Amino acid sequence: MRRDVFQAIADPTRRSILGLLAIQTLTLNAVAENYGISRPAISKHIKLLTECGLVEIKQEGRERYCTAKLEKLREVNHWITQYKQFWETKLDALGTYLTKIQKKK
Amino acid sequence: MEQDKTFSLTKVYQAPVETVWKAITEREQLREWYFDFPEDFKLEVGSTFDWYGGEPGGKQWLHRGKMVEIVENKKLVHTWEYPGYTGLSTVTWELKALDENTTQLIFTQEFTIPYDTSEEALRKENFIAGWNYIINTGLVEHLDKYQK
Repeated sequence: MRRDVFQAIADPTRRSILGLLAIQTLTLNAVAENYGISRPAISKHIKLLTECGLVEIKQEGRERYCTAKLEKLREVNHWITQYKQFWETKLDALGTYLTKIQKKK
Repeated sequence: MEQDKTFSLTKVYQAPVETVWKAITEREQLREWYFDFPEDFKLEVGSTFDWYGGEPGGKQWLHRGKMVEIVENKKLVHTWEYPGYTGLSTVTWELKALDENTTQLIFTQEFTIPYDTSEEALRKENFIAGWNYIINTGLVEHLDKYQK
C-alpha cells in the first residue's frame, strides 16, 4: 500500500506524536507514556510515520529512539500554498472583472 | 465553527455591493472570472449545479454544489462536493458595503466531512488528500514554531 505524508497527518494521535517529536527525540516508551492507549497501538502509529518518512527510529542498546523528520511536511506546505494561490487568483480575477465592468459604464 | 476546519480570505473591491453581488451570483458574469456553470444554474435555495474544475492542464474534476442560503447583497452559501466520492465542504461569500462604492468580501470554505482518500486516482493527484489536510490542519503551523 502506498503511503504518503497526507495519510500520516490524517490522524489526530499521529499529529500529536509529531508535535512531541518536533521538540525532542524520545524513546518509544517515552512517547507511549504521553497517551492513554496501549504501547502496541503507539508502535503502530510510529510505524506508519516511519513508512511515510516523517519519523526515524534508531536502536541504541535496549532503547529505540524516535526522531521527527520534518522535511517531508514541505509537500503538505506546497499543497496548501497551491490551494491558497487558487483562491487568491480567483478572487483577484473577480476584482479585475469588477474594474472592467465599471469602466464600461 | 472550529477554526482549523475553515479557510478564509478577505478582499475589498472598489464597486457597489449590488455590483459585486451580481458578479458572484449571475451565471453570465460568473463565467467571466470564476467557473462556467451550467444553464440550469439557479439562485434558489435547494437547487444544485455541476461544474468542472482542476489544475490547469490536469484532470478536470466534476464538482457539485447545492444552494444553502441566499441573502441578496449580503450572503451566499453553497455546498461543494465531488460526485461519486464522500466528503463535503461549504463555501460562504459574505458581502458588506463599506461605503457606496466599496465592498468587502469575506470568502470562507469550511470542511465538514473529510474527502475520500481510498480512491487511488484521487490520492495520486494528492488532490483530495490536500483537502483533508485542510480539515486536519494546524500541524504545520505548530511545527514551524520549533523549526526556527
